[in-house]
Amino acid sequence: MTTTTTDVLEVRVAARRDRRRRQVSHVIYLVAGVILFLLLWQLLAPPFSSLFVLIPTPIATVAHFAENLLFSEPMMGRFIHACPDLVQEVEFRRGRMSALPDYCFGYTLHLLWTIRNILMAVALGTVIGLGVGLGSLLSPRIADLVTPVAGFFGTLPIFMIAPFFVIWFGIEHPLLATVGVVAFHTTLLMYFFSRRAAQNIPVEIIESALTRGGDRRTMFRWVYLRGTIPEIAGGLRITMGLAWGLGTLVEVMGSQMGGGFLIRMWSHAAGLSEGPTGMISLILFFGVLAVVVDGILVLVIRSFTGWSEAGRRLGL
Amino acid sequence: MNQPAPFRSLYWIGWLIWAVLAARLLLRLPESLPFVTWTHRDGVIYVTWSLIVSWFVLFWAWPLVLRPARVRDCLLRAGRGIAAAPRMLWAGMRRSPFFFVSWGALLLAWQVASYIVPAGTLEQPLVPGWDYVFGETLFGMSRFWAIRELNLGIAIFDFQGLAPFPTHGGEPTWLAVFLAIAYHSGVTLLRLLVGLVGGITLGVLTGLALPYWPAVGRTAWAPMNFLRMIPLLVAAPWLQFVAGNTFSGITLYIAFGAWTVLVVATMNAVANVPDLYIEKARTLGASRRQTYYRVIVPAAIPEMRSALLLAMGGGWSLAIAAEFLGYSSGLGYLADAAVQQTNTARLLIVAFIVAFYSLTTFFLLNEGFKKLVSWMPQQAPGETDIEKLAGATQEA
Repeated sequence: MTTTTTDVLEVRVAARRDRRRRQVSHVIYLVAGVILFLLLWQLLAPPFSSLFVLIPTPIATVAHFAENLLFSEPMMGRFIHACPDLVQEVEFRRGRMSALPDYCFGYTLHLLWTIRNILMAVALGTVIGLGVGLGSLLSPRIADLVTPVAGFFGTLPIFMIAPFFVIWFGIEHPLLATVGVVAFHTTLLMYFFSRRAAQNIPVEIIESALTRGGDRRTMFRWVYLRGTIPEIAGGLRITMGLAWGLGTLVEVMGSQMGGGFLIRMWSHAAGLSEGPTGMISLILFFGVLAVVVDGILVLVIRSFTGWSEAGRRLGL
Repeated sequence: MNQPAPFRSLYWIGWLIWAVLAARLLLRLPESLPFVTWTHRDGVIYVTWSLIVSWFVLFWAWPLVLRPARVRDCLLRAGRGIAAAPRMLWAGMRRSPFFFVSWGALLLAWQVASYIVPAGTLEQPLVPGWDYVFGETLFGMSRFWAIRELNLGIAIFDFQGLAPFPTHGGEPTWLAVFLAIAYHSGVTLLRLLVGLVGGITLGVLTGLALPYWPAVGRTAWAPMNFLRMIPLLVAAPWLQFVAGNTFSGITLYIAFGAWTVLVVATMNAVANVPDLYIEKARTLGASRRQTYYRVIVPAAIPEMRSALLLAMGGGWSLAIAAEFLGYSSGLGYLADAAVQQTNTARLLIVAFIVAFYSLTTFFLLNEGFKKLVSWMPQQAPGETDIEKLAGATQEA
């Protein structure tokens, strides 16, 4: 019998201490990275440099966003508002655009509109994509029919689908254009992720379940459905990350409302000092939003995939 | 016969040099020769089909002379492939009938929809039939053949002798359609290629360099991940303001997109190299630098396949988006022109062209990557065949 003089409890305490130290150093590096990034950006565009006009400083960007979030003087000056329903009543009563409430001239309503549409589209696409993808596990004929067409659209650059929706819905129903493009793209990706997740389930697990008397329905319910969740969740993160850019781009192309529309508005005023600052602040907003939503997704996914190795590794 | 690597490189570099030399050689030929219909005066080259065909023949003469056996093999393989195509198509239809059924159904449904969907108030049909797409609309694309001159720095190329320009009162021709598509495709592919090569090279180098110093790697991790999350597609209007609608502007945009994907993916790949490899190398006496360059870097490369394909897909989207939003050439510009005129038929043609190039570039990249990592022992695919399992569960 082998004996050891090391106290097991001591080892565990040391391991915990080591893990805590790693976590603290991770946070320190993270903060240092962000600070260095901002510092570098600030140095890249000093006021005396020619780049100052092209690349606004981080301070100017944040200040612009904060100033225009609830009420934007430049937007009011350009008669750009986010209250198409209110404007008819107001104009009818007083005939003046300025009679609209202040919040109609801020970024908030535009950004909330975009966020709502994109989240709605991703939810719709996820339901359809997973429905078809998981359905194809029960009936391989579905996969035979869908995969060739989905494969073709999957290799097309994501942007190429957007102009079709802009032509079909962009003029009369801009909401359908954004939701349609993002939902279509999400459906494709979630279909492939669900298929791949099922393919990646180890054969041993399937054989084991079959040996224990699993039939078609129970195999789907207890093996495929549960086994694919961690990988599908990872796919949802990728899809969500791509959706912000795609949805906003559709708005850049033709909508009269939303974050993309604001970017287009500022691109027309690019010669003014506010133009680049406005564009960068909105682009960064969507970047930060993507990071925050991704973080929330990681927390949610972790809470119900902690039983799997893939779930435990998620987000690390 | 396997030749040493430097010799093989010489062959390819020589071919590139020959491509330029052949053109110069043709321009020096006396104009009295019967097939010389082109001219080269005052730095302006008047391009004719005769010049293009002659250059093409000379271009392929290089491999034909230096590697005749390989060219013969290639031609034989291609001939056999063409001869076997109908048989393979029939075999494919018998093996995966649903592939053809689903595509046939989709194309048929579109044609039926083109009869049902009301025409609306627009000039062009919202759902055009295939006859309209590949007939009138495709022929109408001849109006995009409008490149009279191209200044490449070393010389000015005058293309007026190739086909009439419909925008300048010339007759629309199928030749002009071909030239328009070839020109705009060439522009997009060149922008994409330069942007991707630059972005991927820089991305891989940065991603390999940062983890060499662990503190630098950990500090850079958060900003790099943030840059990756920024929706670059909507940054196109800002880019056009910063860099202008220039070749360097769009390639920088594509390169930046590829760079952000590759840096993080490469850092991930380096982090995922099994510790066992490093321990074994260190035990055998390898220094830190040797371990990094001779063990970690080669071991990390196979994991970067998905990132490269992702960068390629992203590059395509960025190229088309940037061209769509502000360039006057390229496939994205053709798509923009179609949207401006609400011409779904023309948009469909552009989409098919982009899909063709996109599939081809994905295939080439994948095959190139497979060659790059051919030294790696191939594992048997561990995928579950869902169809078989579904069959098994049915029997169970």
